Amino acid sequence: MEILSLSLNHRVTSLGVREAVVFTPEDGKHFLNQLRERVLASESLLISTCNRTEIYIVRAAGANPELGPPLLDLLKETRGFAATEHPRNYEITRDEEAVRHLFRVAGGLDSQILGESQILGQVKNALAWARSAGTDGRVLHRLWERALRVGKRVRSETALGEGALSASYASLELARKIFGSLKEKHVLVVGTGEIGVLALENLQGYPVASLTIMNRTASRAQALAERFKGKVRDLAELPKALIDADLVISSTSSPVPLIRYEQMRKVRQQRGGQRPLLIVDLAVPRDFEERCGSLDGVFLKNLDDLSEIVKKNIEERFQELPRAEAIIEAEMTTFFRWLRALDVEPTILKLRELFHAVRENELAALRNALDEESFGRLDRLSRRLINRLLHQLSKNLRRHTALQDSELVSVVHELLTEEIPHPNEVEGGGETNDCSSEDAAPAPPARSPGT
Amino acid sequence: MDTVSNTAVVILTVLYTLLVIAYARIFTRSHGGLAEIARPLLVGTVSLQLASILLRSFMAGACPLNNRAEFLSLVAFSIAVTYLIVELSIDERSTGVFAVTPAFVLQAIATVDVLGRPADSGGRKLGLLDSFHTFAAIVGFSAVALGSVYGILYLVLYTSIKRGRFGLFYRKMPSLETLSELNFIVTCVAFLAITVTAGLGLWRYLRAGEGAVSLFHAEVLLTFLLWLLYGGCVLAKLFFGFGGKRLAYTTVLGLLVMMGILLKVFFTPGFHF
Repeated sequence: MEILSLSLNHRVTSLGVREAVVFTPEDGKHFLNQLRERVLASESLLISTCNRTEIYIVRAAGANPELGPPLLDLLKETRGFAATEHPRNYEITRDEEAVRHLFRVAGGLDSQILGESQILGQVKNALAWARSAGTDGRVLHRLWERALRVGKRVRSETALGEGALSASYASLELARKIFGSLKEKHVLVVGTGEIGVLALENLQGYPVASLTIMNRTASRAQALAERFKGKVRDLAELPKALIDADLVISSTSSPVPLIRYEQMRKVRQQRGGQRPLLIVDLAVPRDFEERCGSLDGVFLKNLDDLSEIVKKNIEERFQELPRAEAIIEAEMTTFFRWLRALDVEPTILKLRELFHAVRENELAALRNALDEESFGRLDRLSRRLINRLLHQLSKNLRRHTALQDSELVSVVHELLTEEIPHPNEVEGGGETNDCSSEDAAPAPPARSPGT
Repeated sequence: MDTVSNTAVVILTVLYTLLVIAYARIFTRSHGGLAEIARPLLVGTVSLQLASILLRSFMAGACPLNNRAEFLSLVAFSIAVTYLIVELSIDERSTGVFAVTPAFVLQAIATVDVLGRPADSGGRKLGLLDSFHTFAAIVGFSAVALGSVYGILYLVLYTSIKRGRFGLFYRKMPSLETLSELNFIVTCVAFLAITVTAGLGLWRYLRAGEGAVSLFHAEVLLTFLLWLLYGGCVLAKLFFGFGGKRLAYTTVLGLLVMMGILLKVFFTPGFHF
């Protein structure tokens, strides 16, 4: 059995080629069916996103031993991707490397943005596509289960997916570090340019107590307030609005600061208590005078501060790589142990057939000698006996296979399938069988007359 | 009796060691292993210690505070219990290492002390009222100590954010609001325990008869100051939204007052000794 993967990903494949090989769900289903028919893949799966197209195949017994060329031919035929023209634009991996690659993809280790989580959903979808195309099978199903487990473990057991990687998200991360939840917080967005809209979009995922939008052009603020379910206030009321706000994201194009230190000091007095105020000033030139940040309880952060957060988060993600790799290796061991155990299944089946055939033969010989009740008892007893013996044997065989003891399995298989000639037969000796070893034993030497 | 007690002390030290490892793993976000069982381990440790205290109390007929080891072990226990209350209240485990580490240190010292002393070395045997008074004082002082830990963590994180230091501490700590909330819970525990301590002390004073001890003794006045400080914090939080940085500073101040009381009680002659 062979697992093969063909990957066209952002690391090796140009955007132009990636665009050409993107599959819609319908295309994907059709392609998977063709894989089964033309490449003789017993199982196949397809992941298709903007950053990667990946095909995973399990080679059927007796199928074409070289899967790569027919697969590339099919890809050329259906998507126009000529491997010969782009020899470095794809990767083909087999068995361990293919599985490792899939696990890295699911864990977000192979993503353009290290640790991003969207890919896990896309890996999950791939299984649904294969199911609907009827090309998923026992091996790929188990492989996908493990891949999804890798994805979940990497996200829950490491910090690979943690920390914002954009200034906009970093500002929300900072807000959460100060306030915990934003549920009861009043958010004020000042300025409705590109950055302001991005901030509003990012805020969508976080329920807040109230959202206020301020802009020089009221109509634009009104339109955004309707879109993001906020309210509008006049920009001139900014000092007043600051009294109630907890989080302020400001990004106007004003050439002079909107709020100076003295104004902020008064705001601070009017706010009372120790309620912290986070001001994220994304404007250049800045909307808040730098000294405002020196006031107690006022956290004033600018673009440079947020870049610092992003930088630290990227460093942290890279530091988490060894832990994620360790998870992948552990899951690979589990998967391959299971896969190796599959090899022993035909032997176990053969063993079962043989044992039951012997049982039935022996029972048949007694059929007429016993009454119905006694025969029934003997039937049940022999069945239980055989099953118990087989259970232990099967368990041990599977265990040995999992431990890569293939020699034992092949010996058992030979014992079951091959007619091993008796030494006497080889030497041309008399007829014998396995049950007559005592008869076949050499006769004791004859006593000499004198003893 | 001593064998059972010594065994319990050693087992508790092992459990506290495991707790420190478990909570350190949670702090560094190293999942799996002990990190997964930190809370059951904490509950188990606290339960075993409680059982051990009750057994000793039952057998001795008094609160087990006969020597330094027992005192330290009891302080470790009350820190662990206070932290358990905090963890269950807010379901925040990332600060656990800061609470269980001092508890572990105290328990370890207690173990060394127990194993190193002769079996019959005893101390004062406390009556029931005194036992409760002392036990409540230990819980209260442990809560004050834990509160100051949260206060310091709050102030360090506050300064980190203010100065734009977004390193390890920034990443691993819960939010400022969470730290403030944790601090408030501990403040409530401290206030209740100090109230009980002071109440029982006052009752004993009244029973002993006027003139036996002076209410204007330094440790009494300092305890009253501590009670006012924590009571004030609780009321100010409930009615005026007091918290954050001011609460953090107050709990650090509370630690200083508590240290003053302990210095007075243990190192200068007074009505306690």
